[in-house]
Amino acid sequence: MSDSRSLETIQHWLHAVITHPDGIDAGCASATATRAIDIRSNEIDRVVHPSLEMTGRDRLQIYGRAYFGRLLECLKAQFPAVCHSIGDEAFDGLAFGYLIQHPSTSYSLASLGSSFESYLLATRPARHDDSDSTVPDFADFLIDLTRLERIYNEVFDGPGPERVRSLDITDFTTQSIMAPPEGTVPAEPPGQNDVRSQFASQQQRRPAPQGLLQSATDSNPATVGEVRLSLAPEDFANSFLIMHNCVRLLEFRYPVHEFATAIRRGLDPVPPDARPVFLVVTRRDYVVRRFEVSKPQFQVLLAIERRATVGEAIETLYADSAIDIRQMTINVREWFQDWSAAPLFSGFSRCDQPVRSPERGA
Amino acid sequence: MTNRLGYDNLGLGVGLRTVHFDHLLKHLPAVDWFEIISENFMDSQGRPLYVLEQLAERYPIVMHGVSLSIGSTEALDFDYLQKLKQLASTVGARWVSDHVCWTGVAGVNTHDLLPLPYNEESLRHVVDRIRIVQDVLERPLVLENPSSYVTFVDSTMSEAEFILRMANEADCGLLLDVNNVFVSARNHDFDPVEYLRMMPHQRVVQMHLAGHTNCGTHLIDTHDGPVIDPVWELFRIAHEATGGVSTLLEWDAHIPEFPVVHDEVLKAKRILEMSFKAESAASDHPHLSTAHFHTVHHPALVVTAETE
Repeated sequence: MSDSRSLETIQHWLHAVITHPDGIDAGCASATATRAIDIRSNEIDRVVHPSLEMTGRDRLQIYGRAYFGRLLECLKAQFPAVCHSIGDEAFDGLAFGYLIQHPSTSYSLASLGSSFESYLLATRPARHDDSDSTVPDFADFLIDLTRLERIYNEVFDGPGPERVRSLDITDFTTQSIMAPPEGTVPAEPPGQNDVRSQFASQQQRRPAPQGLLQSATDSNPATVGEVRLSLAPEDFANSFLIMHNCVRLLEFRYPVHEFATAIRRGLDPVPPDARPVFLVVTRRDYVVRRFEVSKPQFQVLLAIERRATVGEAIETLYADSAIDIRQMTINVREWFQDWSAAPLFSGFSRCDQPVRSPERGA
Repeated sequence: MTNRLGYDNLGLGVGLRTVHFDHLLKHLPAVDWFEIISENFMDSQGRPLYVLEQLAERYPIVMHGVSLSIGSTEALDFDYLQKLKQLASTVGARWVSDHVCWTGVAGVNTHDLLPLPYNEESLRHVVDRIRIVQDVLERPLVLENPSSYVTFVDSTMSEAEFILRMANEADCGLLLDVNNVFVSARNHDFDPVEYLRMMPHQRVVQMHLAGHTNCGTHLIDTHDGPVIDPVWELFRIAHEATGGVSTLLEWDAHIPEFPVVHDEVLKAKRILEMSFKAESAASDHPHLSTAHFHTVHHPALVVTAETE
C-alpha cells in the first residue's frame, strides 16, 4: 500500500537510483536515495509495482540502464573520431567517467560534451618518469582530437557568416592592400618601426575604389551598400579586421584534422605521428571548414584576433629572421585573399573609430 | 478545417530529422507537415535552423519538446520557455507539444521521459504548471501520453484518468501516441482500447505513430522500425473516436531513407480509406532479441556537425 510519499520525495529517490553509476542496487543504498526513501533494492516493490513478468527492481533497471546508454550514444555521435581511435569499449569507459562528473544540466544535448576535453586533460595518465614531457604522447593526441570535434560541433550550430556581410575577396584584390606595384618591393626588409608606414605608402600609390572596404551594419546584404565607411587605403594598416564569431584559431600537436576527416569519410586510419599543426576552423554555407596554415600565417591571424591592427599583426613576422620579406610581401596579399574567401572577416574598424561589425557590435 | 482548440488537422506528417535534410531541400516531397524536436533548434544558429526556415516556408511546422519537464518538482525554466516561444514565432509553429513526464531534479536533466505517480498531488502540480506555461506561450499547450516501464505504489488513479482530468482542468490539448498506449498497456497490463475510450477525444489535437522493441518481458519505445499491426488497429480506433486529427510518424533510430519513412506514415491513409491490409510487420514482435536488452532504450536525438 502507499506510504503517501510526496511527489518531490519520489522524484528525488527515483533520480538518485537510476542515475547511480554502480547501478540501481547501489543507487537505492546511496545517501541521496535513502534521505528520500529509506529502502534497500529488495524492497523496491514498496515504491514501484511489479508487473506480471518483472519485479519492481527489474522494471526500474530499464531506466537505470537507459540513462547512461542514451548519453553514451550521444557522446559517440558528437565525438566519432575519438571513439574510433580508442574503440567503443574504451570510449564508453572514458565517457562514463565523464558523465558521472559532468551530468547534463541543460535542456539541450548540444552542450553534453562541452567539458569532455577538460575532463580528459584532468584525468590523463601520468607520463612515464623517463619520458620527455615535451614529446606528445597518445593521451595528447586524444585530447587534441576531442578538442577538434568539440569545436566542430560548436562552429556547426553556432553563429556563422551566412547571414552577414563578409569582407569579400574582391575587396582585397582590388584594394591591393599588400600588393605593391612591380619594382617597388624594398630591396631590404624594413625595420620593425617602418612596416606600417611602408604599407601605407604602398597603398597610397593605388587609390582604392570608393566604398570598397565596408562593414555591414545590417544582416541584409542588399542594404549594406548604403552603409559604407570611408576608409582611405593608407589607413588600412592602422585598421582592425573583425573576425566572424565562428572562426577558431587552433594549435595541435598532431594532425588530428586529417585523422577526423578520414573517419568521417568512412576510412580506418591509424593515429598519425606527432607534428605541430596550426589550424583555422570556420564555416561557410552552413558547413564546417578547416584549413591548415603556416606558423607565420597563424601568427598574423592570432594577432588580428587579439585586436592588433593589420600593420601590427604583420609586424610580428619581422621578429622571425628566417622569413624572406620579399617573398612574404607577395604571400601576404594571397593570405588575405584566401582568408577573405574563407570567409574569416566580417568587417573592420579604424584605430580612431569604434568597432563596426554586424555580429560583434560596437 | 478547424480542429480542437483552434488547431487544424494538418494531415499526415513526418518527424524532421537531420539525416533527411539534403533530401528534403532537394526534393521537397509531398508531405503534409513536419514536426521538429524543439530543443534541437532553439539555440541553433547553423544549418538546422537554416533548413527549418526553408521548410517552414513550404510546410506547416509543429514543435515537439522533450525537456519541458512539466511534472518535475524543480522550478520551471522561464528562459527555456521564452526560447520555446521565440522559436514558435520564428517558424510559425502550429502548436507546441511535450510529454506528461518529468526529466530530472537537482539541476540534472536525464534526457529521459520519466513517469509520474498518478495521484491528486501530481495532478494539481501538473495542472498548475500547464497553466503557467500556457500563459507564457500564449497558446494552449499540447501534451503527449508517455510510454513507461514502471508504475508507482503511490498512484491512486490510472494514467488514462490522470490525463483526462489533467486536460480538462488545465484546458490543454492532447497528443495521443497510440504506440505509447500499446507499449504501456503491455508493460502495465491494462486494456489499450479502454484507455483510448477514456480519452477526452475533443482535446486530441494530434496522434503519434512509431515502432517499438519487444524485449520479451516488456516493450520499449525505441522508434526504430515500422508500426506494427496492433498499433495500426489502435490508430484506427482512435481515428474513429476523434474523427481524425493530425497524425505523425516518429522514426528516431536506424533511420532509413526519407521515402521509406514517408511511405510508413502514408499507410495511415489506407487505414483511413478502410483499405488497409496488413503488409509487413504482421507480428507484435518485430525486434525480439535477448542479447541486447541492456542497450535498448528510447533514443535521444542529438545534432552533430557536418564538416567539409
